[in-house]
Amino acid sequence: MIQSRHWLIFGAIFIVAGVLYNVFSRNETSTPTFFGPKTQKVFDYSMKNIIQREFNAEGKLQSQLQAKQLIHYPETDEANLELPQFKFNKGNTLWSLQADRALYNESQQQLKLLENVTVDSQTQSTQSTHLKTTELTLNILTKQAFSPYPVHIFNDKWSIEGVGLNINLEKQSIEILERVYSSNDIQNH
Amino acid sequence: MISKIIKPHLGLLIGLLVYAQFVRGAEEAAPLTPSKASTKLEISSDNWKADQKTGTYHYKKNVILKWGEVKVTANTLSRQINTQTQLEEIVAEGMPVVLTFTDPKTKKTVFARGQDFTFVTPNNHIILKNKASLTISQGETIETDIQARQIDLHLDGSKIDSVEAAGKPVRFSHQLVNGKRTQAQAQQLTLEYAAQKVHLIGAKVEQGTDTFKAESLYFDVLSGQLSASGEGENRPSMILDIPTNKPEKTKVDVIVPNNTESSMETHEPPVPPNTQGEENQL
Repeated sequence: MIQSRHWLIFGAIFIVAGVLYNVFSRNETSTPTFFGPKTQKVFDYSMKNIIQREFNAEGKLQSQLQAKQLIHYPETDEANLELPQFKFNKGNTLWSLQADRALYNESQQQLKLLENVTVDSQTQSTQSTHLKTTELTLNILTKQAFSPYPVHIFNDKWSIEGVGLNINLEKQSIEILERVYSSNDIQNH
Repeated sequence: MISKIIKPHLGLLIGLLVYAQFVRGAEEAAPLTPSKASTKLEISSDNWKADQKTGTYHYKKNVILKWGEVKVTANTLSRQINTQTQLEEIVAEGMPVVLTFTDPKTKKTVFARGQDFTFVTPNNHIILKNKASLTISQGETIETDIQARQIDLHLDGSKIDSVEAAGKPVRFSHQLVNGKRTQAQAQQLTLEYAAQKVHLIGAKVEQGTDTFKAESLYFDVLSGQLSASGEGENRPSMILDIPTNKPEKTKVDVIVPNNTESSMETHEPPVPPNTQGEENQL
């Protein structure tokens, strides 16, 4: 009888210790640093299915930012976007930048795409190019994007990997900054 | 009755079924034999830039291209697909661009250099320009050396099929098995890599102290045999330096009759036809 009581106490101690460990460890890592603990709590407005369009001087649609949801935090003047997509048309190239979510700083015109970032460029003359990375910061004014993270670019014929990325949507250029490796199959003649 | 027959062999039947499934699964999962129709082209560099407007891709700094047995090192490399011909042109620049090819069969190594390098696929044609050179080495011995204004390598898959060189002149040098070196100058040179045969146009060949001139001259790299042809003023001619017992050597000019083809075995040194210092006459 005494032994079974001891087992109960031991069991209870283990459960309490496990719960405490879980609570403390969650507090340390659960809050993403980019949200900040304060900004996550207070937001002033939110919108669903937002679309922001930019027209040039001739009234032609130049770029479009859309998202499933927008939540604005006044303290940092940043908005959290869910499933953001930015489209930009230049010459005969259509750029499309997407991610699972993004942070949008309207005053700085900066869109920080986060998680499963993809960039597609479709042109009439050349092949469509697809790009994947984990994080990409786009300046909506200058149409320049940057990422310090590993990047994978591919199309039907070839694949290229590297670290660090610069994209200039206006100049229609993509640059991998270091550790470049590309591969494709060439038919034997 | 049936169950009585089956029961003792049930384990065996199940075992056979499981084995059959295992074999089938293994066959399905077995990797396909690698396709000989294509070879992987790999390029690494420090920096890469794509110009979406023109469809041109630029690789910069420490560029290394690997394609089967072919390896190329360069400072910069760019690639572009011609939308009309669907041919891809890979252009590299370096000081110089160095191409290395190791023959898996003979273990010979081909080094080709040039300041400008162009690789056209799927024709699989490589052009080296501007101080172009090519050497074929076996271990540390340089067997063949070609220096030209332009060297073209025609590839069969990712293996060298033939080499063409053009220049003013093309300089060719080859070391025979007996250690003797054949040196030649020509306007054009074609090396059939697998057959180890060299065709020289507008050629002047020197083997030791002997000299051969011909409009068209074939050289068998393995046997060292020369065969020449030509017409009129360009008919083949030989200048043989035949050693005598006299202190001074005697030179003999040999002119091959018109419209004939001459053949010269050169892998063994020529035996002096004469003795006791008499003047040689042919």
